[in-house]
Amino acid sequence: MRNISIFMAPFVVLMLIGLANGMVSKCQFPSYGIWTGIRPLENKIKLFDEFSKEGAVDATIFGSSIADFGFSSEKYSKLMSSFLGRPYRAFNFATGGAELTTILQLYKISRVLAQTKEIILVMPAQWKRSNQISIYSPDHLLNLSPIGNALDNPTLLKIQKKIWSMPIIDKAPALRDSLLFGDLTLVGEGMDTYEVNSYGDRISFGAIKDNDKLMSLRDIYIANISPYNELNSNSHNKLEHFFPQVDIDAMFELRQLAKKDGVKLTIFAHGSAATFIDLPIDDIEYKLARSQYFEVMANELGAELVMKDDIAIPSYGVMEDTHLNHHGAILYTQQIFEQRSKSEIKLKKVKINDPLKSILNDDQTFNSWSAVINNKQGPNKNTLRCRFVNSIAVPDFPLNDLYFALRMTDGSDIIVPAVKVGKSTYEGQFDLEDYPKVGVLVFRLLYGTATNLRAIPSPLAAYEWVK
Amino acid sequence: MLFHTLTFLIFFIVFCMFYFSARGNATRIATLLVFSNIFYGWWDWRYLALLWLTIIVDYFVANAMGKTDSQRDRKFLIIISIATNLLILAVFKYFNFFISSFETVGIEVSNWYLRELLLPVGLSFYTFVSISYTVDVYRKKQKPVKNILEYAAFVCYFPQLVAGPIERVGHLLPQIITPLKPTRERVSDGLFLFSLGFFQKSLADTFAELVNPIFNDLAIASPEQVVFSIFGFGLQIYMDFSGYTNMARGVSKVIGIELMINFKTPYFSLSPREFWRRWHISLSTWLRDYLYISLGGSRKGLPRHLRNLVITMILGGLWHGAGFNFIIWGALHGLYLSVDTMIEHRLTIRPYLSENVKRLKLVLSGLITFLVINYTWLYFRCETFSDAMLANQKIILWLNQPLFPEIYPGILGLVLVVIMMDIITRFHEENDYKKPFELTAAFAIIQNSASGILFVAGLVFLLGVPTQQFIYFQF
Repeated sequence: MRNISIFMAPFVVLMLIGLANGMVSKCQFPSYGIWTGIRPLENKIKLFDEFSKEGAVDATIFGSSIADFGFSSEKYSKLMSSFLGRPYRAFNFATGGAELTTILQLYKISRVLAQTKEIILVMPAQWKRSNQISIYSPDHLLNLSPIGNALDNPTLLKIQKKIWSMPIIDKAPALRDSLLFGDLTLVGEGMDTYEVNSYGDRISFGAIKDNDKLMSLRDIYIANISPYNELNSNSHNKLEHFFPQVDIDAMFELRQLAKKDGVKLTIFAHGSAATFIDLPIDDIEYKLARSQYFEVMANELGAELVMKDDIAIPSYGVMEDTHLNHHGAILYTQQIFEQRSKSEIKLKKVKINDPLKSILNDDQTFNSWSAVINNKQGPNKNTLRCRFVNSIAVPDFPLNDLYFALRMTDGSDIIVPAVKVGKSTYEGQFDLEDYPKVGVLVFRLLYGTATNLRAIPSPLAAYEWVK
Repeated sequence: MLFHTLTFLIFFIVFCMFYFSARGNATRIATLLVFSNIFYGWWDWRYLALLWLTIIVDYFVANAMGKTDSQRDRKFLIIISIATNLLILAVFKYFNFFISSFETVGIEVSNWYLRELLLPVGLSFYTFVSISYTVDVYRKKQKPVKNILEYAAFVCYFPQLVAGPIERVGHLLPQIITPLKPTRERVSDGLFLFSLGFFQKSLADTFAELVNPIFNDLAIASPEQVVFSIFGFGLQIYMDFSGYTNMARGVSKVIGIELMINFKTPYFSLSPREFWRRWHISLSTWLRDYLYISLGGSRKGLPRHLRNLVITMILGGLWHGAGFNFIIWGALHGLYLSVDTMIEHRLTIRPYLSENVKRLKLVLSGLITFLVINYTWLYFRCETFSDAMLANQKIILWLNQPLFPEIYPGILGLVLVVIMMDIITRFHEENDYKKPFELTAAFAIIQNSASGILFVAGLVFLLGVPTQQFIYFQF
């Protein structure tokens, strides 16, 4: 017994870890994102892991929040499946704040989880940034976190992934806080108010209210990028015109890595939402600069470039000056797919009513969570079922006196009681037959009495019209 | 690399594979030397140059001293050794501090700062290890080490290289040359010590998470927050340093080498003098043997005795950091030791004190010692003198109106855990240190189960807390 007693230590460790894993996995503790230091990224890693287990990964999308919000991998997967006549699966691995240097790191993480056939960079054309890595950037956080030691070593990364995915490790901070403080110390972030679907798309239904302000911001985006002089620019000058050395190095390494993995590189030219709203930009210098930007990038990466100059997104598809919402993401995705596949999609004619024009600034039944939804109500589908985001950043809803409200084209509201039908899921019955048929409506969740209703923080995760 | 990381675990496993399969002493020592240099160079390979400068200078100085009986020559050689080590310390640790001292008296010296100067990890520790060796050779207490690889392995020995204990050549080198066999008892003890240290480090980081926001913004902290954060920091530094030492001792024990005990339940001390027999023992004994005794110790009357105590502690404070706060910290400890010495001096001439008075004195002594020692941590923790003064103002405000901050039951639980660990250690110390250790089956199961529990508990507490560098790494 003495001889084997030493093995008690590792045995007890394994036993305790096994027990603790089992117990902790049953608790609804959130992850603190301690492996990468970026909670939303760790959530994506988990989703991608699950996604890859369900089938082959045809494409992985990388980019910043512009792609995170503004590209629909789900829609793209469906369009490509239909076009190719076989299942096609794309995952949105975009992360807020990501630059080319970050995208390289993200790819290194993703290739350990699953091999993809195509890397699609969904990027805006933007001004040349500094060569210094900002302390607020995901790169800096990744380097400081445990994952930073393993990014250049796939084997170590795999080992780390296995260890840090264990519930006792992943949820340890939450367990510790519960033991020490009786509550979590985790502070909710903005990203916690958006749901991410199984394709990795971050879903937002919010829409811009002030078109005029957005148009003025559009001028700033146009002015921030300028073309190089074709006559006295060699290939290196062209690169340096748009990219700092760190990005040039990252593109080189990404190209090498993709080649080694046998993965195709593609670029979808995206942009800040302000550059798409209502009408495409017709500024010649801007269009030239944008074109040059993506051509230089594509050349450096050895990538296929898919670029459409006349992408236009109506205002109901724009969240704010930088990001599209879910509607805008679908519209962008449809148009870029059309450009790539050279096929024409028969877009449904949606009567645009600019539903946000009638919002008064002091109308307390509107807040930043007011959502634009498609109007698919019909005789057999007059119940609107809404699921709201359930996270630490969203306060609990009141138990009673909740209402659904839809803003109509005449500026009036239809307000009906909201009935809870499930976890964070409510339903409301509407009869819109006597109202003009419009494409989109503005939805809010209200709380209060009949004479004193106000909108509450209620980010919408998903909705559908049901019987 | 830190002990409580995956990188170190991989390093240690690979090291053990090579070390335990090495044939012959020479190969084993060479293996230890190589891996120790890898360990140290992991922080920054440039640090190795300074380390080897110290090793080479002191090796040759000591051997030269061994070849001559001329006191004049030996003195010259020891001055070379001490000067080299202190010069390295002076340049890398104290140069910018001395320059800033000129600025405080109005002399413009902004161009004199050595910018971008690296402070090598463990500099203060290995220079003191080296100085102790050459001084022992000078005093003829130690024969020079003939084999430079053996000497280098002693200085570079990785478990103690960057944060002590400050070992003596007579204690460590024989074990490096002929280590003890890794028996079940030793491995069991080593695992336990490592797990205990790991758990202590997790507690330290937890306490740090609580007190750092207070010390980082003293201006807006309430008086009660400041007061209790000082005690919180006292717990943090104890757990941090004791935790590191236990991990180092545990790792070393598995190799078959016993490092000295560096902490013996210091917060249960009944006097400042006892505190320094129980806190950072390797440093306090080094200061006693190489500074205090060199100054004359207690040999030349009470006034000189007290002077030597104060000088020793001020320099001890300066060893911890290049800053006026550390000087104040040292001076306070010097003052405490002096007062303690004077009280003891007076009490010895009054043997007729009753038992009750003696018992009351013990309790009061223990309480006062705990309070005054923790007060000095204020200067240790505050980054600037003005911060320390601001904290003192808050203490005064608190004394006028003592309030208690809200303390979560979980935190109180952790404090109780620390106290219980110390009580158990103290009990073990007073009852078992006298007996040779024997691993019975039951004890082995309990100890190794405890190792497992401590490790998992440490893991839970450590993860998610911003990893704190070991406090003593900055020295």
